[in-house]
Parts: sequence; structure tokens; C-alpha cells
Amino acid sequence: MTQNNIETAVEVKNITKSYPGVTANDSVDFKVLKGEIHALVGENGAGKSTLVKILYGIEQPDSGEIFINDKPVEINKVDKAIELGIGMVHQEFHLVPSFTAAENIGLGQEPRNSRGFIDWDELNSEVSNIAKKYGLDVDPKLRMIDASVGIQQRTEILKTLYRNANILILDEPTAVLTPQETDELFEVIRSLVDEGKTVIFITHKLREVMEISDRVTVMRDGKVQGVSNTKDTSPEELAKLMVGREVFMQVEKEEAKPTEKVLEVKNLWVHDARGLLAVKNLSLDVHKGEIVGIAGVDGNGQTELVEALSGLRPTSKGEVIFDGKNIESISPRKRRRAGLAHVPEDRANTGLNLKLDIWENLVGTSYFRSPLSKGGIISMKNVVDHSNNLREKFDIRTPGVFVRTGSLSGGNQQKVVIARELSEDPLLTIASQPTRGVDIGNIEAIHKQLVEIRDSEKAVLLVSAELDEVMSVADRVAVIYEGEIVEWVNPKDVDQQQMGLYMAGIKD
Amino acid sequence: MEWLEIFDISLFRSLIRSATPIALIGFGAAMCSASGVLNIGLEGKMLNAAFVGIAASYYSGSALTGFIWGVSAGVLTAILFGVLSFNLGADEVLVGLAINIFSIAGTRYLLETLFKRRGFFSDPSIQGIDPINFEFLVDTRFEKILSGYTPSIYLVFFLAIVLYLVYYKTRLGTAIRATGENPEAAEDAGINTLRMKWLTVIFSGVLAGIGGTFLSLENMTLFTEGMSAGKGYIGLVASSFGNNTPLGTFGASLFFGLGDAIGIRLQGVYELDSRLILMVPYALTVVVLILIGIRQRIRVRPVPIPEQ
Repeated sequence: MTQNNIETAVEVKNITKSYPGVTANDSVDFKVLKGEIHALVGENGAGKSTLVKILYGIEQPDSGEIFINDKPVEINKVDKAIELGIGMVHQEFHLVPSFTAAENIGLGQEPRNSRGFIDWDELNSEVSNIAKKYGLDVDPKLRMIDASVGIQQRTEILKTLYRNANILILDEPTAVLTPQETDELFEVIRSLVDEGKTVIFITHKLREVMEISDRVTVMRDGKVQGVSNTKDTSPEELAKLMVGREVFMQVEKEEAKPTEKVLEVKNLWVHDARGLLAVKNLSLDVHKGEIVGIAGVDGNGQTELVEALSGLRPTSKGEVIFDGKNIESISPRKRRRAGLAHVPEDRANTGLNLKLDIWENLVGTSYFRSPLSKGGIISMKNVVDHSNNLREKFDIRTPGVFVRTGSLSGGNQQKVVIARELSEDPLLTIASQPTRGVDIGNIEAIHKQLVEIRDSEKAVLLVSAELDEVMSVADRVAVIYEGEIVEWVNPKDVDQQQMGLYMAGIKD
Repeated sequence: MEWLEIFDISLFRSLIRSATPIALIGFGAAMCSASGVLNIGLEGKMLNAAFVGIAASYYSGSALTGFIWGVSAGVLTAILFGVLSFNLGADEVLVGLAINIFSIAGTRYLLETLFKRRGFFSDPSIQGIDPINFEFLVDTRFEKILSGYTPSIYLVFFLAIVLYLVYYKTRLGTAIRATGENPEAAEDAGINTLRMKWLTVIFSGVLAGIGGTFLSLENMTLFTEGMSAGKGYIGLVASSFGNNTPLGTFGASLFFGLGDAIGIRLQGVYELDSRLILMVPYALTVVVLILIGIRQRIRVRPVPIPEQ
């Protein structure tokens, strides 16, 4: 393609969109050239999601113009976006679990025979053909309940292609993939572009921006901070634009000095909600003064393991020994009393009650004890003092503790959880996906906190699907695959490629 | 085996009659559940239809007018359910319960003010809906099994087949199922999920209306207070037992009908206490709920841990 016949696939001019209290998009200009892979990066709350929601017709801008293929358009609903050839793969897949791949792909536009009934054979073969054309390996008759995350994602991409999308928006598509699956996805994206499609790739992983994109737009606080050709920029420069200041991408920490054993898990078996074995014969120990990481793709038993350790899910077999005592059959509250803290992966549902005020969440695990309660009655004065102390110590950005927790940003919500969990000086902190949905600035702070816990002779068990996070924060890392530990590694001695193989269950 | 003799044609006919209102409610409930609406309010819709049906027939002297008014009452109650739940955002279960309680009180009030009666209303000028006799079946061996039912009974069999086709073989069916299972996926595919929910709720209102007029104008020609007698709930259980599918719901309704029919029959044979027999459908409901519970337990039966 030569410079002078390049067309623009998408052009957004001066888009502004406000919600009560925030300007999510502030005079945004955004341009995507035809046939390019355009990365849209920014922290959570930077306005990327709002921008693509406007493009996909889910939200309407307050002002501004949109051009698709150089023509001015008004995208007032999703149908209109689809009609204009825009397709979107959401971060949370929008699939019907009991439907097959083809049923999901054809939903709403199934081919019909002369009697008006859906022609399922025709649909299956149409899906097979598109899948073959773009190198997307999907069995049209596979039910989504039985499909891996990678296949579900490919099904989502096929859904947009089935609707003749020419402009594909992929919202954080690699968040749920192994490094190998990510490579496969990148192959697919390249073949889409080879077939003339345009791809908008939303991410906050700068390594991926550098690897896959042609151009990149950075957003912060609802504004575009910069646009450049990927080859002319660097991860450091992008990070600075995203955060607005220098960011230390590496966690600074000394060598760990582990002492006595605080948690010992022996041959643990745990069933999941469907009665399947989620954790299989798993053993591990955690010592004071170290951060043990558990790496793995989401859904490989991490959730059930953490639930079993924190007392939210029964263990089926095996032992959990904490501070010298068996705890596998005692209540979560007793486990907390014994010094076990838990930062759950699902902040909004398990970690916090978003409808309650900040102070209520902060004392949720301790309100019944002196000095917060006296004779069964909560002492508001002590509770408020306690909450304000935590707010200051953990830098929770809020006008006050009498504010609904749900009104805080994701990062600040997570700080509330962490403040509560660390307020009782636990022996062991189990942190599950502690930085999910948290912006870079706060990720840095949370990582620092975990290292501080370790340095104060306490223990941390860090479970994360973000490979970079486990590798930079943990001192020892177990890779989990299908409920079993595939390998223990020292994060300093192993590269991404090797980790990817372990995460896919492949052991040398 | 003397008791086996109860399994004859008249038991079959009685089974079909008992199963009909349950299936009508069950089909509506199944469609609502498939689209993600828990429609508890079918009991009230049915009761309103039964009352309005008989009132309209009494005043007009026409069974058809009674039927049309009865079905309209079911639909209007369904619209009320939809407006409160979808437009005003009230909790579906609470709205359903409110409708049911309101319908009991409302029909009783109208019974007393319009007809000056307590408990029940019957009058020679009420025109019931007549059974259909098929000429071509007269004097054939099928006459006793297939002929002489009221229209709603034939409708139920017809609906079982039509709904099966709609459910699995049309865009509408997949759209309804997608709406219930993952509304975001449905919206993504350009399906108006609110419209789907309205559609199934109105449809369930039509069927509850037909079910109500079946009670007061077809099966009998009278109205008694609270004559829906929990059939709205039993229909809901039937749809759940049948996995919210048309044929499953139909099968479950026949099962309830069988229990009812056997009860009535045994009463004649053994001179059982009639109050005991009246309890049969409800006892069966409890049994079925237990079966549903066991089925769910079996589904999550933990995989055994392999021996080392």
C-alpha cells in the first residue's frame, strides 16, 4: 500500500461524552487507517471503553462526528454498527453456553429454508467455510460449555466475520489467553488484515502493542495523549503517556529471606460447583518472608484452590496446615482469627459490598471485636477513627469514609479490600488477582505493599493470571494447569516462552 | 390385579382433562423461563380469566364472547405484570405474588358486588364451551379416545408440536432461548431482548386466559372462589420439571394429570376421603419438586477422587 491511496476506516472527530461526575471522552480525535492493526491503549478509566462503545453504537456521544470509510455516520444502535461493517469482540464473551459454536455465530441471522425453519446444516457449513478462510480452528457443532477460552474467543471473532464485519474491535483479547494462545490470536489477526480487514486492538499490555500493532493511540483521563507509528515509539514512552509520569515497570525488591513454614497444603483435592475436580492432589508450602506465586491461565483451579484455603469452599481430600494447625474444616472467620487474610479475585461480589459505605467494608471482618464494638454495640467513634486511619495509611482516594464503595474507581475499591485485609496484620495474605481492573499507578502501589508484607516477615500467596505480575513480584512460582502444579520455577531463571509451555500443561 | 382395571379409557379422558390447564400454564411458564422471566403471576392471570370469562358469558349469553373476554383478562393481567416488572423495574417474583393475591381478592369482591354471591356462581344463562365431536370418528374404535373433548384440549396437543418447532427450528425460538441464557449475546446479535420478554409474557397471558376459561366455561360451567387452586403454580413446576422445553413440559403436565385422574378414580373405588383426593395434585407437586432437586444433585455429583 502506498502512502497516497490510504483510506481511513474509522475517523472520530471531537467526540465528547460525559457521565454524571466524569467526562469519559473529552474532545477525542481518533483515526484508524484501512487495513491496519491499531492499538488503543490506556489505563482503566482512561476512556477507551467509552470510545469503542460509541463506535459500536452502545453509547451515544454528547457531541462530535464519526466517519466510517470517509463517510459521516450516526451510529445510534448496535444494529447500525453491524450494518456499517463494525464488529466487536467483548472482553467478557457474549456467548450462549448451551448453544453450539454455529448457533452462537448465526444467532439472529440463521439461514432459513423455504418453510421458514432454520437450516442448521447450511449454517454449519457456512461457519466451517469462514473458519477455514481465516484460519480459525472451530468445530461448528461444539457446545460453548465444552469449549476452551481460546475457542470461545475464536467463536466471537467468527461471529463478527459472519456478519461481514470489516472493522473488528477486540477489547483486551489477550487477558484470558496463554502466551501460546496469544501467539495464535496474533496469527489470526494478521490473517484478518491480510484479507483486508481493519483491527482495533484494545490492551494495556505494552509488550503486545509493540508486537502486533502498526500504529498506537494512547488515552488518559478521557483525552488522547498521543498517536504514533509503533516502530517509532517504545514501551517506556507509551507507559509514560498512559500514566502521566515515569513508571517503574520492574518491582524493586531484595532477595527473599524465607524462615519458618506458615502454610502447608498436602495432597489437596477440591471439587468445583459442577462437581468436577478442580484441584487435584496439589501440595505446596509458603514460608514467612516470601511471596509464593501461582501462575496459570484463568480457570485452571486457582479459584477453587483459593476458596478452599480461605474456607469458602469445602476441601474434598487432603490437608491444609496453617501455623501448625489443621484448618481445612474450620470456618472462614476462625481462619481469619488465626491470621489468614484473603484478597478475593472477585472484588465486586466477594471482596466488597459495593452498596455499603467505605467504612462498613473496612470493618466488615472486625466490627464485632473490641474496640470497634463494646458489649455487642458498634462504637461509631472508634469505627470511624479506625476507618480514617486505614484510609490514610492505604491512600484510599475518597472524599470521606461515608461514601458508597461502589462510587470509587476499581483501584481505590481494591485498596479498600487490601486495607481491610492487612489491618489485622495477618501471618499469610492470599492475594487473588489483586490488580485485576486496577490502573497502572495503583498496580505499582499494590505490588509494593505485597513486597512490604514479605519484608516484615509475613507470607504472601499471590495468585494471578497476569504472567508479568507473578514473575516480577513472586519469589517462587508454581505453574498450575488443570488443577495440578506442573512445575515450580524461580522467576529469574525462566523465560516467557518456557512459562507459556508450562501454562499449557507441557512439561519438558 | 383388580386395581389395574382403573387404567381404562375414562381414566385417560380424565387425565387429559386434568392435564390441560396445567399444560396451558406450563407452556407459558416454559416460554417465559426460556426468555429469562420467572412468571409466578400465572395463577392470578388464570383466575382473572376464569372469572371474567364466566361474567362475560353470563351477560352476553355467548360462550365465544365469554372466551374472548376471559383471554383478554389473562392478557391484560400479563400486561400489568410486564409494565410493573419491565417498565417500572419491580421485582418479578414480588409482582407475580402481588398479582396472585390481588386476583383472589379482586374476583371475590366482584363476585359479591356483581352477582351478590359468596363462594361460587352458577346460572343457567351462562353458556359454556361445548365439546367437539368429530363426525368421521363416530362408531370407530378411536371415537372414545379422540373425540368429544373441549377445544382447549385439542389446542394443547397442537401447541406441544408447534412450540417444539418454534423452540428448536425458528429464529424466534433461538432468539428467546438466547435472551434467557445470555441477554448480552442476544443483544449483540441484534435481538431486542425486552421485546422477547414481552412476547413470552403476553403469550403466557393468552395461555393462562385460555386455561382460565377452560376451568370456568369448558370443564365446568361455573365459577368458584380461588378456582385456579394452585394450577398456576403446578404449571410452573411442570415447566421446570420439563426443563422449560415444550415437550418436557407437556410430559410433566400429563404426569400431573395422571396423578389427579388416578386420585379421582380411586376415590370411587375405595370410597376414600374426598379431602385426601383433593390433596393429590399438591402432594405430587412436592414429589416432583423433590425429584427436580435430586436431578440437580445428580447433575453435580462429585467426580470420585482417584486412588493413589
